[in-house]
Amino acid sequence: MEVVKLIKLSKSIGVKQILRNITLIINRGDKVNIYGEDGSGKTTLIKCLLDLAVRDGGTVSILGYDPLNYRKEILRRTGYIPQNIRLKSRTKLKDIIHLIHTLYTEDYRALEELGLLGFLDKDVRALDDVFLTRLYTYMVLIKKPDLVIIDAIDNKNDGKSIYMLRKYIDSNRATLITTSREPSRILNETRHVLIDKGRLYEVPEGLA
Amino acid sequence: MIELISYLTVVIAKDYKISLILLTSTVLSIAYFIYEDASGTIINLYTLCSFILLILFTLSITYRLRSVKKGLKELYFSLPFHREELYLAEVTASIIYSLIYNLIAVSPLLFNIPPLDLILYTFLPSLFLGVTIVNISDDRWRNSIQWLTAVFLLPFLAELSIYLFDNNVYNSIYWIFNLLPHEIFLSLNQIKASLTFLNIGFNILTYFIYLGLAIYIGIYIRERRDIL
Repeated sequence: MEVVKLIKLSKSIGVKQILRNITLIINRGDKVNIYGEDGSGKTTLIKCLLDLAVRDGGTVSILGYDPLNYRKEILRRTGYIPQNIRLKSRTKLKDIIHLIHTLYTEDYRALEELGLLGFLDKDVRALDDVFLTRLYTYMVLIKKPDLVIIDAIDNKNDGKSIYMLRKYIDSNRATLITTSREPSRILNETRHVLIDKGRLYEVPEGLA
Repeated sequence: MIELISYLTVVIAKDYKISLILLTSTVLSIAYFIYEDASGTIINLYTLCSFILLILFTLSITYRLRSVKKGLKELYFSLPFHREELYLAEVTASIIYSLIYNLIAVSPLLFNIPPLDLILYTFLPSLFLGVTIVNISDDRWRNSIQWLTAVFLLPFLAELSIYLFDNNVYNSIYWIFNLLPHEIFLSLNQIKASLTFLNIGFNILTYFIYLGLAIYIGIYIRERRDIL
């Protein structure tokens, strides 16, 4: 079953063409790592998948839906950890957790495992990257998603989050897409795709 | 959408300064309504206090909404909502607060107030509502200009037309209308009659029409843009 299907996807920002006629098919259970230099188009590609950016051309299908019309359905079934995880609003962690719980279900066991329970009264601006990664990880896990997308996995340096994500993905046969600067195997990615100047190149296993 | 609005409301309401201003404004507003038949001094005092506090309140809310929106941007736009829902939630959240202001500010319309006050009571709420909506939209100047146009130009033209047709201004520029073709002149006279008849009701109606248009234009523009 095709979870992600991109046909001739293109995207420009201003006069600069970021993605050039990208075609990519990802099947259920695939663990794909898209790697490339800064500015190669990794994050833009992810944003186009989730309707955080509007594509210029081509067709996109995620879990059978076009993100332009079915953003809600896609985001409900997709766990996403963005590149930039810093939260700059004067908001307590428990307010964010409260929001997550109104949208999904509660899982205090996962919260405890991630070590977040002791920080509920803390301002999210004061949380370091480790705990912010855990917060996003909690958001992913509680959704029980079919597709997990982690942008800039090489920046998410938290063993506990990685362990729990890996456990979830393996036990649920979820599809995984990660991006990084160098080829990554942090979440046991088995398929590597190089992105360079907006074009994708499939890299045979063993060469990445 | 309800969850999203409730979330925004919870986050905003948790700010003790805003809560304090809200509480004080409410108390003063209630007092203002209770003392409406008392001496002019009391009415003016409470009106003034309510006004100042509500302006502070609206500005605080604007600031807070902006902070929430910007500070939680990555998280906010990753929520499983359609774009329209996200934008409508932002606008609705701002309107909920602005309505408190408007409700009190526009209420004197019910008590035959002079035209100058009419401008104050209809324009100020519009201004603050406009500022709120514009501030929670993204920073791109083009968007802001379109929002500003939608929010300020429409009510301005509506107000201007009301004063042209409904006040002495109409008589002073009467000769212009005489230069117009007869049919148009008649139509204008009919509009004038309707406006006089509808009077304040028209003001409020116009207000809601431009509000609807502003929201529609804003969402239409932002639908076609990258959000992160």
